[in-house]
Amino acid sequence: MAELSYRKYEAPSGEFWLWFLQRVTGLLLIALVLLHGWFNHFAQIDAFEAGLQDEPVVFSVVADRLTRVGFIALDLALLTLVLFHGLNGVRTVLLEWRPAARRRRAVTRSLIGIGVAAWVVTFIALVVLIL
Amino acid sequence: MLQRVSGLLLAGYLFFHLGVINLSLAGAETFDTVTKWVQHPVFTVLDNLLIALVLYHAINGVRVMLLETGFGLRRQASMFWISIAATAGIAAYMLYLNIPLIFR
Repeated sequence: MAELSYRKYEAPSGEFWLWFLQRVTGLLLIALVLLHGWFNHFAQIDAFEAGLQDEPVVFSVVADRLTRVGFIALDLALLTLVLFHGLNGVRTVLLEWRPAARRRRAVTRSLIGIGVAAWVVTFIALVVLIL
Repeated sequence: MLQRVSGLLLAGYLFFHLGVINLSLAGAETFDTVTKWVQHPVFTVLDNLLIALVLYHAINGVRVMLLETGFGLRRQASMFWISIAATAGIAAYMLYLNIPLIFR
């Protein structure tokens, strides 16, 4: 009788989850970036042509849009997902150079630091536009 | 390879974009002065290159995911050209929408 092969259960590694999340965030970003481009840019062209605003993007117009919960949620989701997707993508490219383990950790930590800093500063900038 | 190049360019642009938006911290006047400058027709034309880059990265990303799940392995070449054609088609339409901003 053939023996059942025994394999130690291996939990999915962190790298697997990063790979997986890169794809999930990529798909979500397709929808979010389309909405972002449409509402923030293309939907403003008519008002610009009618002379209602100087440019498609004006502080007062952006601030007015951000009084609505949906647009605040859209911007926060976009900010979070795009920073993850962008910086995780940069990490993938950098790690393809096969740096030593110590360097790998330095790359990962620097990118997390950049991401968190950019998120916090932009979050405050959004709060200024919202209030 | 092109997915990496376009991705790195978009990551670079992301920080430029955040930098401009974060000028709201410097007040409405500064924000409007700088955003007016980056909405000059020359920048609108550059925006269309950005749109093409985003479209390419998004459509090619979907193509990569399809290939990873084993779909279309025998049609790789034609799928690449379909993604290029879709990018060019949608980008051309966006350029058309932007005409009032370019010729003002």
